[in-house]
Amino acid sequence: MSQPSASIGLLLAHELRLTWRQWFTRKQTGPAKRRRVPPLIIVALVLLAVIVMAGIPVARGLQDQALEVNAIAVLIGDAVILFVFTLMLSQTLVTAVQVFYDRGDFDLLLSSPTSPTRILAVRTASMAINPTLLVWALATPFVLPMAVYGHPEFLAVYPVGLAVALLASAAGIAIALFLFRTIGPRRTRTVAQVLAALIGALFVIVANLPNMIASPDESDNFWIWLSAEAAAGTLEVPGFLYGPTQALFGEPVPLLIFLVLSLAIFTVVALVVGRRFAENAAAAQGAGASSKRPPRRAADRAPRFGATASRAILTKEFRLLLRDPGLISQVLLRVFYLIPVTLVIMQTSDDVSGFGAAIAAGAITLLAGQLAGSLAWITISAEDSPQLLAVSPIPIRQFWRAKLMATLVPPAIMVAPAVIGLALFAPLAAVIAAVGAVAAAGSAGLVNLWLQKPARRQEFRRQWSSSFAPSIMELVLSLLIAVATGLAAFGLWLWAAAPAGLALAALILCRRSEAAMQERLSIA
Amino acid sequence: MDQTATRIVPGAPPLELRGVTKVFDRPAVDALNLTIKAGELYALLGPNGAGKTTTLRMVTGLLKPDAGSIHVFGIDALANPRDTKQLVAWLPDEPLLYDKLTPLEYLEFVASLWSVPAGIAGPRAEELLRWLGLWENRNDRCETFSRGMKQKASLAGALIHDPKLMILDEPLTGLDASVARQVKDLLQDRVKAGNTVILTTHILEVAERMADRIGIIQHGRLLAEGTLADLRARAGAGQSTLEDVFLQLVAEPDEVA
Ligand SMILES: Nc1ncnc2c1ncn2[C@@H]1O[C@H](COP(=O)(O)OP(=O)(O)O)[C@@H](O)[C@H]1O
Ligand SMILES: [Mg+2]
Repeated sequence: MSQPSASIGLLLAHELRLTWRQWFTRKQTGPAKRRRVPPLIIVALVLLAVIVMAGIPVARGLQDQALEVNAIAVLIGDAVILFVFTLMLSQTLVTAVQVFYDRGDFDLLLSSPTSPTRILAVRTASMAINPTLLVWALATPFVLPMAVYGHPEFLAVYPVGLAVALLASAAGIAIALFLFRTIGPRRTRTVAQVLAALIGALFVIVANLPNMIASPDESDNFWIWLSAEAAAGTLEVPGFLYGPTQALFGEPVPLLIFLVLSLAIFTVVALVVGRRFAENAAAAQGAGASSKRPPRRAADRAPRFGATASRAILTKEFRLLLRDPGLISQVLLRVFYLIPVTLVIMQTSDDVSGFGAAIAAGAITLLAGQLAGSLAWITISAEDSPQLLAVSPIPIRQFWRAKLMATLVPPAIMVAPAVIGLALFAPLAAVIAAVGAVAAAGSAGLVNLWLQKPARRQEFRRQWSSSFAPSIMELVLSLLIAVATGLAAFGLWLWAAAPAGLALAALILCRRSEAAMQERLSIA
Repeated sequence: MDQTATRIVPGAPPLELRGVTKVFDRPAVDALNLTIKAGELYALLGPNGAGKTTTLRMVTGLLKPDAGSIHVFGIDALANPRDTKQLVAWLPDEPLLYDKLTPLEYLEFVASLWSVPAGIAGPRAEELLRWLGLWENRNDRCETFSRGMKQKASLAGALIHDPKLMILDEPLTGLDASVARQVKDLLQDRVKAGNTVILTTHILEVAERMADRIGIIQHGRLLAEGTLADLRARAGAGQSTLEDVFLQLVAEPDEVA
């Protein structure tokens, strides 16, 4: 290794530090005060607790059982591996976009005398290390006791975890690269975020697919059928599915093949990426241009001046919401998770008349409230330019009204299909759901308006720590209204009155006068 | 726009502060009297923490004074803030922008807030963006801009409604020489066209070079006011620079407060 350039170890440490900071530091309310949240001691204590309370009992339970790789074990083992893979992929895809296109230090690193290939190799490797460590940490409380109590073969979880992380990183990088080349850097961020959300939810959706497509009058669902087959010993799975689970059970040859294969795939992807970036970097240096993010150019269009103020505010809010990939992916994630869950509940409960519809009405209400709350926080608390609004001749009330409206439109659009679907088989429940959704969304918006506190848009993911009061109130209100809606849809009107009353009381408690809010804003 | 214009009291100064006071832990602005004349470029000069920003924030309606009155073109700014805001533009030291909007979209938004008719706002936006060298970037999101470009986009927003009174807080800090020059020229043009500009600065040279009149402020009080010549005369020796005057004034009086 050449002397003057930074060693791989040093670079790797830099990478890991950056990522870990992202995870483990939380912004406090005060400016620039940073605190590490879980010190290692707490992590260790939690691990120990899990070992004692869950790991050891499980391991002792399995102590004397011969665990063989049969068909049902293969299905479960493969499913676990696939699940871990999809979760990792949804993370590595986002990381890949961040690391390669967003992180500001690329210019710094590439301008150093260290070779770009090496920097990129380290960067890709670090992407695989973080998910590996995470899986190891989560598996250890179970694997270690099992190794002690007679099943040392499960130590194979460590190499398998590494292999899955390598595959997930390779896939994440490959997808990011593919997106970048096909749709360009501007859309890659958005699409990658949305894809990541989809992939994250994929497992839940796939697991429910058999249920969703099964015709409702078939009494037994897919999973019941599957376990019956397995119990009868008549289950057959294709041979190639055995490999991953055998590796997980520590069989040397499958394990070795799995590891070598994933390492090979990862290396190929890393090399391809390395070459591409080295070329780009060299070209950029030669041209004297920086490899900074390219400008995001809106389509050239005739400017539209002269809109009324309310119209202009709405336009501006919608533009900002639509240009926020992180937000869009968060919203979609919630929807993706909620839809299959609702469907499952409805399917498993359609013998109990009205119960499914009640659950659906509650879920729709909750969804609308949560979404409206997020949007209200973004449009009201995270206004980028509060001073501009304050010095404009438009009364602040008009801004708030327009912002609340902007907050309510997306949940309405999103919830409408569900309400219409519900109306097909339970019209009354659909009407109640619609009322509940409006109430939940409206109160979430109002709470965020009344308890607003200036924040920055980028803090969205840390919304809970930066705006705790509105976040918790919004959740409590959504839950109460959802419960009330569900009960009402089930016909328990009297029972519904209690949570509805509580919600109303909470809302009244949160109410602030306009003067009080302005006071708070001008002091902040 | 027009209704407000009719409320302007003829002959009233663009800005008049009487006994304006704001107390945080201690008085930041202390019974301040200030009159800005029509068509002048006035510089409020003072060390950091003198109360310049606080004063201007009260004028723009961002902050309520504890006592005193503020009149903009004779209109009571505390009683009729909407009317005075229509006449005023505010340009703080941090640009008022939206990272995810393009300059053109930003101007559309600002123009609507000040109810500028489309027929006026469209051509003016193009003129401003061309003049500030942002026309090529009109469809780029502001997040890609350098600090100077952001300042310029923000400046375009302040000018889109053709304010009669422009209020700028430390307008030249952090700008490179060419942008700073452009801003200076622009402010001078505004004044020539009969508008009024008030800016703050802690840099003597800025006040010395640009302002028709200078007010020196410290501890929220006006220590001296006048043209450069007036201030020199006040300090005695005809040869003294503004720096001498300034240091003398700032060092001299109130250790009582
Ligand atoms: N929001 C505030 N809360 C408390 N004190 C403030 C606030 N804003 C300004 N101050 C104090 O008021 C004084 C004047 O501040 P400022 O007007 O910003 O000065 P300048 O702009 O002349 O540098 C300073 O002592 C400052 O600390
Ligand atoms: Mg200041």
